[in-house]
Amino acid sequence: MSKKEFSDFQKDALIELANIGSGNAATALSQLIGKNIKLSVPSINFIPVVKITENAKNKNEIVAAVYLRIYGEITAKALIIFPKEKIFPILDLVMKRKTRETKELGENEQSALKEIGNIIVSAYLNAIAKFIGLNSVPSVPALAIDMIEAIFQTISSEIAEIDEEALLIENDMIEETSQISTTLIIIPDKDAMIKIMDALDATIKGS
Amino acid sequence: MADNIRVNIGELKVAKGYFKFSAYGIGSCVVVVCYDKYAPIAGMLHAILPQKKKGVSENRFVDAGIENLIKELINLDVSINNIEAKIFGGATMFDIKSGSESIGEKNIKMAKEILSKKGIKISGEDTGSNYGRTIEFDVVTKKAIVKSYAKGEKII
Repeated sequence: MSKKEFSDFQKDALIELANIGSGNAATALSQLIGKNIKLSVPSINFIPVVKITENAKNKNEIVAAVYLRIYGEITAKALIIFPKEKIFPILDLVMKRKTRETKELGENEQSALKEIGNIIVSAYLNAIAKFIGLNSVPSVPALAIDMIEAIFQTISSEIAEIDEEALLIENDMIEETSQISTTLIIIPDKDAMIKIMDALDATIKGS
Repeated sequence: MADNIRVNIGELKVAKGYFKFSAYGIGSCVVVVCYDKYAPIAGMLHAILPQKKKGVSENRFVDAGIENLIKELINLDVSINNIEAKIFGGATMFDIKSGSESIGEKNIKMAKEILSKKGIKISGEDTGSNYGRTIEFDVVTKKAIVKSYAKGEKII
């Protein structure tokens, strides 16, 4: 599957699928932090592997990134990115602390961040499984706090091992007061894309 | 002030004189610098994977990229006996157990293997571990400034 084989209709169907996934993910995040979460319209782009790092707007920006591999009927990679200044506010909420109580990223804080990533991605996958009937599960989450470009670059190496371009499905989740914002990126493997498109076709025709 | 030459993923650049090479946000990628010990001539390779694949630009790969880097320096009249190297990057950013070596580890291993096969001495390195790096290499002084969020700044 590549850019050329990807119709407008399929793109719309994929955006819808991403909406369903991220809607459920946002609900899970809302429940976790006790605040409303707004979603952007998902963006869907095919990007050559060597250009993925250009996705990072501010190259030297420091972020917390939770990375999970997705296994099962859909194989994919998932990345949840928190800008550095949003890390402590979200931890205050998740760990039921007072505002600005979190001052360092110890072991507990790091595992809390990983758990947030796990919950967001699991909710996303559950919604997709219900919609198109493809079941998948995330790996144990890994965390890196580093330059965003180095994080994208590492993911692009993994993709480059098997493919020349990648489909990035991106969702921004923002809390009302902008205290918290996070970006969820799902990158399906090539085989998974074909399965997803077939399942989408079958679901739409069947309804 | 030396002019800055940016080296993006899959690129190989060589220069003679008052230049600086820079490569930003290196995670599992490996950056190989080869230079003439006695003259201000150097080149930088920014490779993404260890082994070359058919039909894809060679400089994305550590093995073919280093061969090309050496060839380009020889084209600039550098003697192979005067070439030394410094290598950077090859981090394992995400600790997901997969049973095999990470891409970063494979990249470093390949770089060392090819350089040793060519008889090129590695005069400095800042590789491995789990953090991203930004590298600036000065063609005249042959010193690199390696910046990272985790470990601050180092001169290699």
